[in-house]
Amino acid sequence: MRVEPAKSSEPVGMVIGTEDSTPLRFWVGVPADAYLQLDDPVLVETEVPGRGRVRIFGLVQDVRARHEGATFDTDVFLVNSGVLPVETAVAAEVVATRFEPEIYVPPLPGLPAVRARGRDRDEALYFDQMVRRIPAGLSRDGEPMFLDLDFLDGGRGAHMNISGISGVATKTSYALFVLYALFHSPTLGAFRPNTKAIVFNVKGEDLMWLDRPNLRLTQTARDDYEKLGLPVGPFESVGLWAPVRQGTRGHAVPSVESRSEGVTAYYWTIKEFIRERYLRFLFAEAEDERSQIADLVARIEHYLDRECVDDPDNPATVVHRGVAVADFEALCSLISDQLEDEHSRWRGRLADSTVAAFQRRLDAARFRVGHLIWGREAENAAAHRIDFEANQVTVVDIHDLHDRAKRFVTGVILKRLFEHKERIGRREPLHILVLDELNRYAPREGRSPIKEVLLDVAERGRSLGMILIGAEQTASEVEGRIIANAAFRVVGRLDTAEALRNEYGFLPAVTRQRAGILKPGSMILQQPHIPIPIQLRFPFPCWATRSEEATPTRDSDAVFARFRTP
Amino acid sequence: MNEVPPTFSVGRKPEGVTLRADPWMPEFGMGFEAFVEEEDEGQVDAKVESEDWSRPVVPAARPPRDLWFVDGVRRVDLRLIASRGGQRSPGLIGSFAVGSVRCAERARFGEVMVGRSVILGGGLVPERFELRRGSTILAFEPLTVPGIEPDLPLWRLQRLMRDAEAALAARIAGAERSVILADGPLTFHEPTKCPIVGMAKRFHRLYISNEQGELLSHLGKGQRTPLFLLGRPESGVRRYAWYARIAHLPAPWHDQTAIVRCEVRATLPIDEAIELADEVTARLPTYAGRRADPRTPQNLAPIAGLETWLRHRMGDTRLVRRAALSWLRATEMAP
Repeated sequence: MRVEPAKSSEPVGMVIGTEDSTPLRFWVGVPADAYLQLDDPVLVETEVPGRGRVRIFGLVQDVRARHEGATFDTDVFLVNSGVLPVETAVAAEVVATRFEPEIYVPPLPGLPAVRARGRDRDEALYFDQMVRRIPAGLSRDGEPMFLDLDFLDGGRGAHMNISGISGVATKTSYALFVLYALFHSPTLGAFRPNTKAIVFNVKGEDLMWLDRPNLRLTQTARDDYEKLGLPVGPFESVGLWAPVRQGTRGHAVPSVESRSEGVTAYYWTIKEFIRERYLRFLFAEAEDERSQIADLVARIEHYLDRECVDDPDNPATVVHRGVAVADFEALCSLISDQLEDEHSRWRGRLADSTVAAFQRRLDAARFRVGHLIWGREAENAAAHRIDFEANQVTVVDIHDLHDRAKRFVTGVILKRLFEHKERIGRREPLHILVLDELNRYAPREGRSPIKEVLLDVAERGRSLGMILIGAEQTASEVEGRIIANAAFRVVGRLDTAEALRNEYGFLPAVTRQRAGILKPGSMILQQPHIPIPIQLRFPFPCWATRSEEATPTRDSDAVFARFRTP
Repeated sequence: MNEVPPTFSVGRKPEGVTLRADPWMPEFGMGFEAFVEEEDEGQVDAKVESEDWSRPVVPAARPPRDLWFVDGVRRVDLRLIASRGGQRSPGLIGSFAVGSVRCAERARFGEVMVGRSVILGGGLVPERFELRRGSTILAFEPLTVPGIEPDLPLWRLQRLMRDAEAALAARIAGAERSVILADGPLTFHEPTKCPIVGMAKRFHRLYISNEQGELLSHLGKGQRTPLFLLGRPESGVRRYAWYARIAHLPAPWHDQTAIVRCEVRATLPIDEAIELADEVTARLPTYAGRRADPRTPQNLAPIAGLETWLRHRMGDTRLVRRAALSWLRATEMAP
């Protein structure tokens, strides 16, 4: 049976007088019959002469216990054997989060402290001021935590950034949990059906089961969802897209291992490639600021678009000076020919070395990305163009693609989405973009076309209603402006050395240490309202993350069970 | 309490007496050695248990049992000089605290009693007075001693503390079934429900003969001498005593270090006294003082812990001193 958390605040101790009590930081002595743990919300009421009662809210940031009266480390053995009498003292360090009214005075020693519950807790964590709030997870004592939608949807702030070690930090799972909470809470109101999310699947095929319920969800996890006021189930409206399998012609088959139905293959046509100027995304690795390749790419894009006319025989291809550009190979040959022609305007006055460098990269791209750009073989190109409006959640699988192809797909989709939002010109309904491995797309050093788009999203997305939920192993390797624009900073398990870097300056020293021991499913959330980051956990996904979770238990499981060691 | 008491209630000073404070801190130019507590006990009977003083008594190991320790601390907060006519008498304002520790599976503090006193020499009788610090009221009980030797008021404070220790030990002995170890020589002898053992940490006067005293050097840890009877029959406080070694401290430390003298009241049957001596001797090494203690090893660990606690419970002497000086100033100005 589940124990319902108490709804009224309970006494937990007194402000001590042996440590300085300051307005922002004070210590609470905890008697033997009570406890305080990290992150517990605490309330102390203090009387200010002439101003009345001030309610000081805070969160426990550290708790210590010690023997009073013991002098030496070895005293503990004497204490344990019943020889040396000592008192055990427990005290909790509280960091103030809020003063009501705002009179910054220290709570006086001797004042009783209570663990804030119910409405007191809402006040301590500013939940009472969050008009539009969505569940953010559960605090470690199992109470719901919220985040303020006004700071996510662009109203007062936007974007979320998640850092943490791959595999342990559960970054993508948390991003999806936030999406799930957003799509399943009434906060979005009338805009909810039209709010869209584009999620890139960068590792494994975990996200290819979002549309199926997790049949192995435990009762504990179900209870967690209930506490958060969320239903248990899959994402209802999901479009799954996988890159077209290499070597297929005509009928496009998605390159996906774990499931055969419900996944659509995606590719682009020669015509789109030229008209939408996607060439730059073949050259999307970070460049030195001084490199001239970007200039050459822009010239070629320009002349391709200008000199090619639509192919009257095929909607997917174009014709250049009477010669059809039938496939990607032909397109590459066309570009090469033009560059080798000294009289061609395409190459302009750029140095031979720049042209050579361009050629080398084009060759590499032809090999790695070529299969995603179709010419005459495209039968029904419209059906294979990623449509992020068709479903609420669009999953674009790129995990199996080469790095160069990953950048191409990401860059193209980002550009299309950004242009789409610019065209609409209003914030709502929102488009949310979930992108892991940000360091790959917006590295700290150098410039790249994707980084340009991502910077645009970070800086202008707020007014356009394009929200970036970005994730990376190490925030120190990501463009600072992208991190700085995120209203929400989330940290999963961090490498200890990484946690010491400036990018995590928002984490107090104790919290940095904690980031090194976080378990999967636990995150530290920093949000604009609350002055200190708070650890929370989120329930196990209620959508399937692999085929075993999506399908009912099979007999084969029973067979395998026999082989398991007891 | 409805009415707020004044910062202090001014006690009337004795008629015609000028009361002044000595600016020297009490730890300078004051104090007496512990041997003052070792009085001449007259005849000593060293044959009550055995005539054989050539070998140590080796008690067998004991199963665990509760043990209580009782101790007190005292402190002079302010030295006074009272003068009447041409006569000057020493005095003091002092605090003391007594408490107990019960050593079972865990060692725990028992009740603590804090007392304060104003003591004047030369037979001058001061009045009781109270000092108020914050929400605490410090009450100073008046006491007097007849002589004018400088250490007499301190001696009186020491006796006050000893009396409080004895009262606490007796109270525990009346309510608990265990052995009670009180710090210092045994100063009372009323029968109690369970035995009280006095323990002198250090001794200058050896009550036994020098030949018998040879045995002290040969005592091993947890071993004792035979019992001997102390005290004049007419004085009342007659007790059985023995020496016991509580720790093994080889050279360069001298051979009588780590030896304590224990005492029990002589109204106990001799068999019970022997049994008690065996038990206490066997037990004491467990509680020997920590190496880093300035009075190691005789200052037993529970006693050291208790003393720290008691000193703390007496409050900060600087605050008491400051309050007492304010009081003196106020009495000076009082009509």
